[in-house]
Amino acid sequence: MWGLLFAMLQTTAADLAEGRELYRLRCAECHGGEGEGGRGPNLADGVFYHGDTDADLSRTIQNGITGTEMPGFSGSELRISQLVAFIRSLNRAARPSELPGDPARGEDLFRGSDCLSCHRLGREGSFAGPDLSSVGSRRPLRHLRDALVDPSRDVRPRYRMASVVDAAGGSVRGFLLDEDRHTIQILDLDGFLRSFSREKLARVETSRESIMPSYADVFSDGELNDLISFLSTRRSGASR
Amino acid sequence: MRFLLLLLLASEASAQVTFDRLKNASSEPGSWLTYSGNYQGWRFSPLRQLTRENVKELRLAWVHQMRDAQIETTPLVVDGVMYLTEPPSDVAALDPETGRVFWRYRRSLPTDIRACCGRVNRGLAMYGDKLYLGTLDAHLLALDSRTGDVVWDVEVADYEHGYAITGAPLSIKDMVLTGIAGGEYGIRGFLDAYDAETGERRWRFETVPGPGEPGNESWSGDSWKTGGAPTWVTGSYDPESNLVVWGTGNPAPDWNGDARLGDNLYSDSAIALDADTGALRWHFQFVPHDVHDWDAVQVPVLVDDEWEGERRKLVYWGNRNGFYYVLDGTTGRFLFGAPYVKQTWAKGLDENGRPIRLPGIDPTEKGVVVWPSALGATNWFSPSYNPETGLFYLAAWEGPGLYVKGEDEYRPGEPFYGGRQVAILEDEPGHGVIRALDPRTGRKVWDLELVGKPMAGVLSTASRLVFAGSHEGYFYALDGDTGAELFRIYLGGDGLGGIGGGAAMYAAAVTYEVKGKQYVSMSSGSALFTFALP
Repeated sequence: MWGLLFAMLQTTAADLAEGRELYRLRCAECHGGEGEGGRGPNLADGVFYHGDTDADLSRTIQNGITGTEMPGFSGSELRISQLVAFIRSLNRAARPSELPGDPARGEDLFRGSDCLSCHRLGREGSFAGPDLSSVGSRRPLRHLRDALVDPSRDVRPRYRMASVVDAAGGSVRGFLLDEDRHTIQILDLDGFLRSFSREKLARVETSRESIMPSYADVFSDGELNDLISFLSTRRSGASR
Repeated sequence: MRFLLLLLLASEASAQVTFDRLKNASSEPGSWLTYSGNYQGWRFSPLRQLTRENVKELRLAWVHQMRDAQIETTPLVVDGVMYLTEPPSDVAALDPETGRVFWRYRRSLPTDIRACCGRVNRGLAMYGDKLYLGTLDAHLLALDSRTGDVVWDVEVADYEHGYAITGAPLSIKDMVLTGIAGGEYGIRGFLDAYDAETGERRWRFETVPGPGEPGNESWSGDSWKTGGAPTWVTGSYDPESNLVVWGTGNPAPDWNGDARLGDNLYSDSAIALDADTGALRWHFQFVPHDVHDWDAVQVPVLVDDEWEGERRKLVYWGNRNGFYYVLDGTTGRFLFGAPYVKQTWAKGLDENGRPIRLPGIDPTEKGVVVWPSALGATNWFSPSYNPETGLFYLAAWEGPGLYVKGEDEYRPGEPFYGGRQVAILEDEPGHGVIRALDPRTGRKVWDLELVGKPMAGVLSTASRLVFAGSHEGYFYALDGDTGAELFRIYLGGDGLGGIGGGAAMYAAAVTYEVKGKQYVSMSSGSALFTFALP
């Protein structure tokens, strides 16, 4: 225990880099490149199902979680501590002094634009885009900027689009939630959850392009900075 | 190809559950809109495609696997989507035809939640396009039914003081009601109503009255502060009189009443509250000063029928204490009561329905044997009332239990039992039954006798079918008139669950219809199994 703690205290930039590499190899596939979650839970929001001390995280990594897809990872104490340090770093939200713009102006822009027609912010907004209520806890500034400027660069599987056409030519377009050899599950743009039997479909088209347009030409650089500053201040528990 | 976004996302278009739909649930038999199927607590389906003749042809349509066992949930089926909770406090939306999952919500729970009797959840409520979930850390959440995103999340009570939510919320008008669990931790129980849109609390009814309130005198000293009387199973609602009828649980500590002399109102009671204000309209206490842990949390069955020549609102109630009751739904007055299982604790009920206790039944340090056991003649698992057969169906236990008195000092968030109990005695384990009662006389009409004690509720249909489950994991379809077995399949899962010796099944079946086909879903072990005709 003390050895482990000592290792944590001594975490260096090199350890973090090692942790990042290990994370990329072993964890990112399920937990997402930035810990945003996917098949596995989000690791960047500071909420951990199975205990949130460093010792808990180490144990979870070593033993896996029975009854889930989470396997154990056998590595040295040092390797695991590097991984824990990197996972911790995912959760380091931007400090106010690091914000590149004015969050208040950003909020005005956010509300004055069409953001809430797709995104949720606490009790407001809609269902089509990712819930931004606590996005600042999960996403670094760089990612927020990328998402506005080049939304298709990194589209999480949940937000990929699909279009299905039945034999009669009727079509439904929406988010591709899941699919298999026989069926396809879609959240259509009217908000209906729909499952289709492939047998009854003439065509299925999928796209990795985001349905969100780029805002690179809509907002000035300063406005983008204000917007991402506002989004960065949206943290867990802030809008409950 | 690039999809151009025209921001005309019509959120009104998606599934919308209105108060009118909930009030008239029986007019859309293909859906399952609320915990008990209708506000009146019947767990009855008007569907008739499955019949006594063809039910033997049922085939497995799909299986939904979960992370944990002890599934107590009642799935909702609304506008072509099934929404269900999974233990411990998770939610999934899936396709009711294929079982394929649309989305999942996983609740991050603290590691030190207080769940006396299993990390369980009994289901959701729905209103508008939102789902309502109570969690083991005593929060109430609104989820967007399209995505599972959290719309709001409010703390109902402090889980570190022993509060938890295991029951399905109930949506009424533009409110969502939730009960609370924690009778084994010395909580002070309540029933809450929240604004469905915002999560603001509209009212709270404390089930243990405070100083100056009527009923507080039924608790000696400060015992009311830790009096229990939780509300952990979903109640019923009569839209006509705007009354919420809800059952309350045991007084705390469970098996030692020395420090809480008096009747201990409103523990082990039926309470009727004005839905708009939470004001108490009437109450009926089944077991005054309970020392046997006989929670009266059974789902109240509300029926309009004739009684002694008069049209009345009636409440049918098969209680954990072994007696079957009929109450007047308008006044709470006791109309009728009789034992429906063997019981050894009361000589009978007096004219007001108060039990006439026999001597020597209170727990002692050495232990005393009383029928029924502390897990009851029945418990949280739902009964079913069938207007076609006119019968009241329930899963019941015939058997004694050992009650041992002990000492417990109240410490916030720690178990506060005042003793212990053994629900299944080696020398006399008793047995389980699926039982049909005549609800007007409490008389037994038929039994399906079982070996183990069932913890699954029952469902009945207009085609005179009863669906039930056994301790071991058998799923049955029975003839509602005779109890004859028409279909049986072993679904397994025995020993995976916690309470009651590790039963396989803890929830009642639901039935629904999609595209003209009737399905019936039953959970066992850690999965939900759905059947249909070929």
